[in-house]
Amino acid sequence: MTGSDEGRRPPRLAEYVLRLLVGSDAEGRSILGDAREELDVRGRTSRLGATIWYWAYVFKFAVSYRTGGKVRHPDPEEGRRRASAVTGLVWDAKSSTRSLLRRPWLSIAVITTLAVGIGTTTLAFALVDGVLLRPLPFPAPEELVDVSRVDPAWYGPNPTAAQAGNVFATPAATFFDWERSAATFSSLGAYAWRSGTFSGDAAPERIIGAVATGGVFEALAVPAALGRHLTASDEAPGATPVVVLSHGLWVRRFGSDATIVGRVVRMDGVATTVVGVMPKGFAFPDETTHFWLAFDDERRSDSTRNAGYLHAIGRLAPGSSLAQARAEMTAIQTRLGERHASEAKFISVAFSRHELMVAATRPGLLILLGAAAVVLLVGCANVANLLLARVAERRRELALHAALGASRSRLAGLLLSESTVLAVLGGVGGITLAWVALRPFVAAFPMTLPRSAEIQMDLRVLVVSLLVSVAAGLLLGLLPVARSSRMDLNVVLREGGHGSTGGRRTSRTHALLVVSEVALSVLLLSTSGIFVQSYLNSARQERGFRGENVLALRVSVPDTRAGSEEELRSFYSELQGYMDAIPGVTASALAQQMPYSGCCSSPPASMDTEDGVQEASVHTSSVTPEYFQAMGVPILAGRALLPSDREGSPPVVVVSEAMARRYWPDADPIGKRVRLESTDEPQWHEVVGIAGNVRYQFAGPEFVEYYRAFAQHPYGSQAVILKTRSGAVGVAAAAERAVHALEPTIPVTARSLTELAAADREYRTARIGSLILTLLAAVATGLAVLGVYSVLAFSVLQRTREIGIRVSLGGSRLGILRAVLGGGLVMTGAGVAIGLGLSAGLSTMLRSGLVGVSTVNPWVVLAVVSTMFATSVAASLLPAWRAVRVDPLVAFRED
Amino acid sequence: MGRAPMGEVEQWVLLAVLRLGEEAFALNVLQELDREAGHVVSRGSLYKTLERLAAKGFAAWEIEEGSPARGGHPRRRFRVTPVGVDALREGRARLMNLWDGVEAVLEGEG
Repeated sequence: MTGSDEGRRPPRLAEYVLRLLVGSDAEGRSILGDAREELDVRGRTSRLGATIWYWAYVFKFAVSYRTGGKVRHPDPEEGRRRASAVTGLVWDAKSSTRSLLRRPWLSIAVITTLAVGIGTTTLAFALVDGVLLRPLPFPAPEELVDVSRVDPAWYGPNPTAAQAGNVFATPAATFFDWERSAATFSSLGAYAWRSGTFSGDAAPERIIGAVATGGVFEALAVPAALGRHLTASDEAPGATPVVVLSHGLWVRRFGSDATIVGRVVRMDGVATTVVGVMPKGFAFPDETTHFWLAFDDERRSDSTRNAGYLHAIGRLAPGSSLAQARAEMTAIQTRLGERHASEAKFISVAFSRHELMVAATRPGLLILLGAAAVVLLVGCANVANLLLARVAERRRELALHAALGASRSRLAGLLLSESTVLAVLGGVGGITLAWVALRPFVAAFPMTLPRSAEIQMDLRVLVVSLLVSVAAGLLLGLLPVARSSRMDLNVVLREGGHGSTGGRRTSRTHALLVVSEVALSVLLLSTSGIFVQSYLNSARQERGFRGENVLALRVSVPDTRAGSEEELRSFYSELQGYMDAIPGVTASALAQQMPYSGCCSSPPASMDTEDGVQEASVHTSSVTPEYFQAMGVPILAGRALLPSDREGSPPVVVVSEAMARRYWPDADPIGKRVRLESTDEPQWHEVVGIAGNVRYQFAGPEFVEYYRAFAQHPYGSQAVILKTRSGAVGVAAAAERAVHALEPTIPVTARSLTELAAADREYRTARIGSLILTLLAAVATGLAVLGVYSVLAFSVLQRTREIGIRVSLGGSRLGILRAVLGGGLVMTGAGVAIGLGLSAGLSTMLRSGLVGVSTVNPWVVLAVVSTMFATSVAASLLPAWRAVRVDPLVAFRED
Repeated sequence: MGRAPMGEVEQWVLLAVLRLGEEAFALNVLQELDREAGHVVSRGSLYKTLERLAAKGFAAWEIEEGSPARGGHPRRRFRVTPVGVDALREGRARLMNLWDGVEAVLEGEG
């Protein structure tokens, strides 16, 4: 934060460069101070303008301070040299612009190719920079460490950061034991997701937030913008319920009310005092979090150590390292295991906060960056080929310049300045492209990109993409320079610009460039093929339910409206009565968990198996008997839940086929028993039926789960499921009205299951991700094919005379056709072979996380190979046709 | 000549420092040159010029503590030394000698 009295901070890197130039004695620092003072004045009108000014200042300073430093003795020779160098540069720039304008289509092709390559690379870098490279926006972010308790049965003894990030399973009792004993942390806090309904101040609204102990805020060390953040005193039994708001929520719902602190809002029906507003940009656990409630769990006792819902974050004490914290947490957890039997099987895992946040996204982003770099490389190879061909065409012009007295270095300068002009124009185009595409791109991945608010096109990104452009320009320029310096310009002049173009060596360079283009495109094509296939496999998987004509609404009854189980039962049975009366509704049901609308919860359970009682966390959902029919989930054996499975009757469950297979592989599960451990009085439930498997997640497995009867286990938060007649209209609105008739403070939105499925995060990520990769692969392939075409076309043009001689000596035209097509096929074949080898290596690395895709998929290979060959044959046809039609007479006359 | 020679830019800078008196800080010198003489001098050459003037004994500076707006960096207050004033005086006299007798020509052209 820049307070006005502290002055605006200049860009750190720029100030560092300036300090290098002026030194850090008092005189040098006075110059730094002058620059800051001026920056401060300029920053009042435009922040961005001031930053740009500062950088420009440093660059100009670097030049003028150096040259201004010497007392010059007049040296007429030097003056002339400088003048000629300057006019030379100007001449170069003018002349290269002229020569680029002479061939506008070629220039446009080159600039577009570079713009696409640089644009995608810039975009990918902006994402990588914002998510992976930048430090988290907390003070000393490297000291922040996440700790969670994990069952090795879930992910093995060494879970990754991405896996640990998903686990919210630390019980309060365990956390408070950690907090008491951990000495490597200066503060340790616990948090969990929590959504809540705000009402009273405006229309009721369900908002995502978190519950957090004071230790969380102490560890994050960000002061509140208004009021205060949560502290340990807010957790004391009997403390007034308090909430801290995000900046976004404060602006949106409370109109930036400066007097908000102390105001009482209703959250889930409970009067809650707002004690603070966090500053803009504060996001924890992520940017979807809009409030923080004080930790209010009274179950701190030892009774609930089986399962939990918390995650811990701490700040390392001065002098402690992550390794030390890990060792200490392991020791503490081992000691807990010795004291409490239910802690024994768990391990504690600690990761740096940054790692935990980005680990799951890193592979995807790196693949994107790699793909973008491949497009850029293919583009550069293509442009290099075009520029090389141009040098060959312009041999005569260059030779003339040389004859008129231009030195070789002047010629080199001319060629370099041409490629630099092209690269800079391409760079500007690319940066513009990236600028325009960045926001829509980020928005296309809702909720999947962590830190998405921090992703931006700023100076860092601009500098990197400019560097990339300049590097591309130099690289592209050097090839033609190397080529022109090998030419014997005298020979060129004598030969009238025809004849040798550098011979075998030149065509080898062209061919090598094309082969590498093809290889890189094949790499990208087959990678995207693997992703598309994985996506299709997921999309084709049997979901286990029928979502057509199904509407879902998530209803959360506030405790004030229905606190007891009895009240919940009567609330929901009344609600179901309303729902069934809506015209067009053929069935209504309740489910605690359902695909795409609030899932998933796996509390600890015990299964009475052939090998004794097994304990595990198993997904479970409380449903009404109509659930199976409404969702089209088949009952494979035994019976469904029945209206007679009510409170007081023997407790029963229906298990999924996957659960039956896992726990009773060789026996009939009907009549076996399951016990839910996280209730106050765990009770054995009899298995009465087996239901078909359901996939709750797009790319996820078939769930091992059991269904309990809602009447026996009512919960406040339920998905109401409505099966409607096809074509029924107005059902959604009627259902929302029905809820409000019962309780006006409940926010509801009814949406069709197909709609929810399309908005599903995993589905969208897989779909858009493979779409983007395919698009990039298509661009790269297009460029590579263009490369094949341009090299063949150029070689036919260069060999017109040779072909003419062959034809006049009786060479067969079929032979010529074969030679040209063969040349294209050899280049393509070599590229395809290399590309397939590369992609076989890469796909081994990608294998994890791709559903049902073997490393080398014959269909993908076949598709890639045939695409590549078909397009390159098509690209060879036109040059081959030209070659066949060479008229010997015309070929000679052209000399 | 016992004194080091003085260039044109050096002369402008020295005059600006003299005119500014107690307010002769680098940024003010820049503004003064721009406003009063229409000369835009780059900051880099201004600092170098001032340092050169100091090396020749024409100018000197004091270091003052910096304000928060300067990020705590110190600032330099420049002044013209007596030797510098002499040099300016001498320069002016030489120029005046040269101006003598050309007024008529210049007027005629105007």
